[in-house]
Amino acid sequence: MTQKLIWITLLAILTLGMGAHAQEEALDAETILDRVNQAWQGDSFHGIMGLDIVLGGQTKSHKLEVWTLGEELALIRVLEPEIDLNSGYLQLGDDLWYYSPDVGSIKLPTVALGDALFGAGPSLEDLSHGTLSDDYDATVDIIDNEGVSQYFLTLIPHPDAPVVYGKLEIWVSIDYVMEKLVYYDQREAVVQTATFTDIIEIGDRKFATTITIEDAYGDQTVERIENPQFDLELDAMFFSLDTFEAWGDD
Amino acid sequence: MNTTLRRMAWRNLWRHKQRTILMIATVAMGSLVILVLFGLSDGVISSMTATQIDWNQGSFQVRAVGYADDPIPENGLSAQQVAAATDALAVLRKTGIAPRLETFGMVRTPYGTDGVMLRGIDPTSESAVTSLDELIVEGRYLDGEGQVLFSSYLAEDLDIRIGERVVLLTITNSGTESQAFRVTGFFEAASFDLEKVAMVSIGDVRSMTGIAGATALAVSLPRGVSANRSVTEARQLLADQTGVVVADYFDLNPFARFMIAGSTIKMIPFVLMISLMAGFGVANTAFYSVLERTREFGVMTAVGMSSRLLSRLILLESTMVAAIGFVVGGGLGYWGIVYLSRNGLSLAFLADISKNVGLPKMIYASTSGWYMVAAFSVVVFTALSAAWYPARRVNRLDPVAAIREG
Repeated sequence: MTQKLIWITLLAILTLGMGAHAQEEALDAETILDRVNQAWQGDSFHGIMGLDIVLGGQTKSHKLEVWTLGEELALIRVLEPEIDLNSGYLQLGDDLWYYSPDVGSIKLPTVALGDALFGAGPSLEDLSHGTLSDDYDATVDIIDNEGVSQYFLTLIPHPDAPVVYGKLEIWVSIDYVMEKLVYYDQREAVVQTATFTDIIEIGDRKFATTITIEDAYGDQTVERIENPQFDLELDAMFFSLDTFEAWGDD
Repeated sequence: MNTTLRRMAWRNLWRHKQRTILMIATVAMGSLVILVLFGLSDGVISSMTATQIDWNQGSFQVRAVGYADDPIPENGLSAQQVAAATDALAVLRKTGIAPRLETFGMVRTPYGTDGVMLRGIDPTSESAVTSLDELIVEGRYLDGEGQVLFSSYLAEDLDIRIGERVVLLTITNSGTESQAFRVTGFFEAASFDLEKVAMVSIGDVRSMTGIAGATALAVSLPRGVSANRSVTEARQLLADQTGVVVADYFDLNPFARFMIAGSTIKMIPFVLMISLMAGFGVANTAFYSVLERTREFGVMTAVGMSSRLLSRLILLESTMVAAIGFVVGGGLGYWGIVYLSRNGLSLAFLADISKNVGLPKMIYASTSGWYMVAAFSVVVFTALSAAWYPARRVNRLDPVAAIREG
């Protein structure tokens, strides 16, 4: 559950897309995914995220407040449920901490960061930083979806790539907003589908505010981003365990 | 007279069939429980020892000093120590010696992640030590790098199939290392602690951890060779090598040491308790049978039967009950432990608590003549305790009072 929470939150942050290159181009998969990520890189972000997690027919709801600065710093504060208020996660580069007002801070193993980013799969960060061609054979098609052109990427992992999936299919709008991501296992069955909807525009940014992730067992996670703010003045000192402790003193 | 007394005792017993059967059943149950208890408790220890030696650890291991306190690959044997120890043990009589490099890690599949122990083995030398190759239930044994064997338990838990790619991760000093592996086979874990061990080639673990040595050298001995003597010999052969220790079975299985240490002495309270329960059960019934017959005993004394003979009659009755009970209970108990020694008893219900102590999945009861002696001593105790008070009472019987009382 905890890992899923970090995972989904950081996934959302990393997939905020920007429509900077609206013209239709014949691009390779790496460039397209780079552009999907471009809007995010180097910027600061603040927003409230509502999470509805449906597990075995039961729904659990969370509300998180998220701040990020660059690619290295992220702070997630739990607002709801009430029992977890002011607990959260702090990421400083490759290090990850969990904080709880009751037990203090716990440094999580670096493996958790891998989970945090993309479950057992590749993180978007990995895909956009030159490792794509090391691990995957990628093909790009421009397809027509009800009169709208889309990039359709198919990523097949190399036989010795450290990737557990058999195939990834990614739909990206022509202005580089990720719309759908489907993970297949090695038996060609769908493991997980992430759908990105409710695309809004803030300034020159265009991104999905709702992400729905459904796994093969029918469990679902729906995330909604509320009041997204970009390019805030955030102090790097804010990303510290002291911040959590200060909330606890309120 | 003795024949007459025996006949009288026998007849007396069957005057109250229900009561006699109850007494026989009490003694039989005591004998049966003692036999099965001893057979199983010794069986746990011997099954655990056989499982760990044959399928997991080998007879003893050569390890680095300090590894047991902090079992991480960095605290293992260096490549030079592995080579030197292997050379030094060349003269030792053994069936195999195999290097292993173990580290904690995780396995990832599209359907989940689980913690595992990565055990890097040399497939050729390992099969001379633990016969892991004989435990393969699906697929095939390792024959090179980039391949992994899982227990069938883990395969089912994570929905892993032969031929699929999984990712194994481990944390090293320089961060998290991950590598893709092809699943080549599933083995049947003989003990619970083997269920979460992923077997890979030692070369793979060396490249993932950046450590060229091994965390252990597992050594197996031929049947009939004394492990204690071999361990002593190995310690002498390695005496001039610094930083190297020989870990015997008990060093590798501290829980076994705890279990074996005084296991017979620990059984004594149980045996006493069962004896007391059976003894009081029989004594109680025997006592009432004597009370019931007070008038009868008075008449017998009045017509000339000595009170000593009457006491002997009571003793004889108890002895007969105990003897029949022992034959029935001992027979059933012996049949039970012979059955359990052949078919075993599954410890699946203990899976959660026995994972970390090296208990085998199946235990086979031990059969030993000594258990019969233990059960027999219970029977003697039961018979004597059951007969003592009634016999004493009869011995002091006043015929006139007894006839009047009855």
